[in-house]
Amino acid sequence: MTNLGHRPGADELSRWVGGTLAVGAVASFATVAVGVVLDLGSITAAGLLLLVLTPMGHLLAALAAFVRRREVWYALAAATAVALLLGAMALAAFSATIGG
Amino acid sequence: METDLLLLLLGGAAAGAFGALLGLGGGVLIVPLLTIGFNVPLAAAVGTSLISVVATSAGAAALNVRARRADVRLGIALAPGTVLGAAAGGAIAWIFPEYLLTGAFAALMVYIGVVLLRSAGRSPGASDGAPIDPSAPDGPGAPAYRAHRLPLAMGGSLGVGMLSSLLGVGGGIVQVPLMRLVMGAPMAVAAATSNYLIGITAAAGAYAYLLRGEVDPGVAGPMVLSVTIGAVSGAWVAPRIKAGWLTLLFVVVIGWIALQMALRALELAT
Repeated sequence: MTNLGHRPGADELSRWVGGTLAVGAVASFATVAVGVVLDLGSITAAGLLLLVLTPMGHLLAALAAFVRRREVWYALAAATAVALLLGAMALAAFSATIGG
Repeated sequence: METDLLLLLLGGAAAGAFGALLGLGGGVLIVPLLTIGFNVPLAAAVGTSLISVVATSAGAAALNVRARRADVRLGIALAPGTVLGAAAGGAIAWIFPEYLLTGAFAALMVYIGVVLLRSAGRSPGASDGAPIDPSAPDGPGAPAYRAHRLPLAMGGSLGVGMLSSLLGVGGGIVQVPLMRLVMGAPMAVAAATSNYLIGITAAAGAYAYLLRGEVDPGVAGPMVLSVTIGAVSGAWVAPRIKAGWLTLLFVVVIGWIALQMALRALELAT
């Protein structure tokens, strides 16, 4: 990570990550709003799930951008974060099983 | 029930607006709002708060990342540490008694109050919790910077992640000083990148509460909507008002919250 730091100027990393964040935020907000207005708990729950999956989406977008730009260290960091998020889900499921 | 929903929506909007005005995120206000105001169990309040943090982070980060105010590389470099801490915290949260976590939350409130009071005397651009000012000297148009002491910051991020998932806060109040003071990132970059990162951290913690069935969509749904609307409104109003008196008012409010949470912790412990 020798090149860690802020570099002004637009690039595909900002566009891809920002775009995924925007789509995730708008889609989940709209889904939750429909669920709340229609008083449908399952739709609201689907919107909440979409919301908490949004970080996974923009990390994958960042991973794709780093791979495309051949920024190996950042690609590894993004892949590790994605793997840890997946691990967090597995750990949460395990914790739910043993913790009730 | 309809009155409760209305109060929930108003409370969420106020939490989101206050959070955006002071650059804190709404998490520090949502947990006490739900536990003290609506008698929601702490675990459910923490889970709801984490989901709301993801919502406010996603909305603001979408803008900050596209405008290059947030440094995605810096965020990605710290993400493994915060996610690991958040996942571990979320998984073991059920082990801790509620009085202990409530007491820890009261202590966090006191810390935030001290940080805000100390920052109130400085210029807005230098405040660790201030909203991002794109026109600030160290804003997005600033020359490139180099981040330092990455291993130390990664270790600190692990602790921030655990704090986030145990107490239901984004962790920006710790993450921003970590990026600024330890890594040497400019204030505007640190604040925007922290906002991007707390969404990832909060999501990692939220999975545990969601999968344990501790989050009620009937509470979390309205909270997410109102906090997001409040945060957008707060971000719009922020550049138009003086933050000094607001910070002092906020310190009084969180001082009261800290007292209530401490009393609740004592009540639960006895």
